[in-house]
Amino acid sequence: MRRRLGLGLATLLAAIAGVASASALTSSSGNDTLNGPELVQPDGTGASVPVTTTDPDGGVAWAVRVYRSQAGLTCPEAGRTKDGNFGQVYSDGEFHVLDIEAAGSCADLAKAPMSLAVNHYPPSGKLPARAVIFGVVSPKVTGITLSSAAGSRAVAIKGDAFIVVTREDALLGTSLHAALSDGSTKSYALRPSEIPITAPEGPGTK
Amino acid sequence: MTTKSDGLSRGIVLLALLCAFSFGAIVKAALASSYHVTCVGHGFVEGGNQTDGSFFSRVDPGCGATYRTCAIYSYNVARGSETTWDATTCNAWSLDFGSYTECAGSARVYDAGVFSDHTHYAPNWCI
Repeated sequence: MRRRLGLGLATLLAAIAGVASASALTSSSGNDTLNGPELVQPDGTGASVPVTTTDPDGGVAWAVRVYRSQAGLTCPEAGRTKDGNFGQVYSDGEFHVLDIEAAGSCADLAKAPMSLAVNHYPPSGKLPARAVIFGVVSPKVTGITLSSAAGSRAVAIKGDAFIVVTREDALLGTSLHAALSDGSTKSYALRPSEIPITAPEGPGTK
Repeated sequence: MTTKSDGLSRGIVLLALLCAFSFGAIVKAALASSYHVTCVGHGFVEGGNQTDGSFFSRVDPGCGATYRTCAIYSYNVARGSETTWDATTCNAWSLDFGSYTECAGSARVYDAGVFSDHTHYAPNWCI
């Protein structure tokens, strides 16, 4: 009888201690739902593909797909377009259709004049490393230009979205300038990807 | 006077406590390797489930950061990345770069002036 009581007490203590220790240890990482997935989760009303551009290396055309998140943010995503579908071309050279997922580079255009992102694609087969500069603008943006040592050029904005495909190394020394309706200009210094080719070997080696 | 039964119960309790704290540590390690908040939310985010090959490397905007980077790794090799500025969420999706085994996936993240670059691993890390 006493052994059963002891075992029961041990089990109870283990459960309490387990919950307490897990709570204590995890609380140091803060609130895991600070912003929440609704920031980038599609609101279910579909998406548009307002702008496309040719591939500089002769491949499938590039495009920006834009959806609205559950939190009301505007979320552009860069990809490829073929036969009216949105997707990506993988290293096998095939076009893969991608459904709408929580994959947008979202921004609240009521607070920020634009969403700006650069996707970096490593070399693939005969293709060099490439960069895709893309985003969406609010009515506060009246024009976008890209400038580098080679000169400046205007970026087309269609349906409030824009996209430019370039070689990754061409980003070095390139800036994007957004002209705003109040007469000011917002400038962003672009840069090639600086991430290492390989990562540490696993969770125990961070 | 301590009986044999008392000693056994004490031993079981100590063992149970050790197991309990180990459990807590495992939970902590699992969360730390996926997604957490250091001023802004960031890390490895699963897609529909842990085996569909759809996962994200994500850094929320905020905390005064001017730009941020999020990268997708598979088998510890970089597959693609994204950089965003100001109020734009950095959100690199594995399926935007290829088809990869999710449990071998990881997310390398950096937020200028908020945290240095580091890697978050799939919760069901398998290599």
